Amino acid sequence: MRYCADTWFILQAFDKNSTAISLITETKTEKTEIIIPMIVFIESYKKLFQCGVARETIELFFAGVEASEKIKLVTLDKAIGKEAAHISLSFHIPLIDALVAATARLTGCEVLLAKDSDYNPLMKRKYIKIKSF
Amino acid sequence: MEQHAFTMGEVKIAKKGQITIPKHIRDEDKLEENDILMVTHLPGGEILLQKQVHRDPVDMILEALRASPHIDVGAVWEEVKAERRRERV
Repeated sequence: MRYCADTWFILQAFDKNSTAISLITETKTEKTEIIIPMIVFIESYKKLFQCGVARETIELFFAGVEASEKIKLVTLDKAIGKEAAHISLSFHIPLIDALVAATARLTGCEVLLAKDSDYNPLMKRKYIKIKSF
Repeated sequence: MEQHAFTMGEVKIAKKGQITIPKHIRDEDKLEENDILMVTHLPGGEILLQKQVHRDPVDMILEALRASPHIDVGAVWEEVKAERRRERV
């Protein structure tokens, strides 16, 4: 299963949520992959720092992500940007939500790990499935 | 890596900047041909050579998560959503 992580999932992981930790651990042995959109990296970095998480801790987390073959940081490219602009306008959702959803869609993720009612229009139109816990 | 006695020695730089690490150090630290060493050049001029220890990326991630303080995810996530909505196009 290929998941796409929204900032909510990263925050849950840093708060040691057991489901988030299990999903990350699963990438060691199972066919589990986690995609982290670049906008989620930026937003998470900022929020974790504001929450008092040490810079070294955040750096270690993302160094692990960079070294992992199953947890990947996906940069924002033209195709994702165009798709995000399109769905942001079509579904009237915030641009960052649209960037996350577009990254999930264009990288073949089956599920978006998020908890946000702003994604409801996308779920209703079966654009993406959402998993929260 | 195991602790061992502090030692110092001299090595000569050969053509193309090559050096030979003394045999007793190679034996103690189990350094073998094709091992990768991290070279760190410190501001004071010292040059450190460290054997690269492979770390599982997921273990690095889990170590970072263990070191994290408690986060009020509900409150922080509400902040994130509010910021995102302010930037709605």
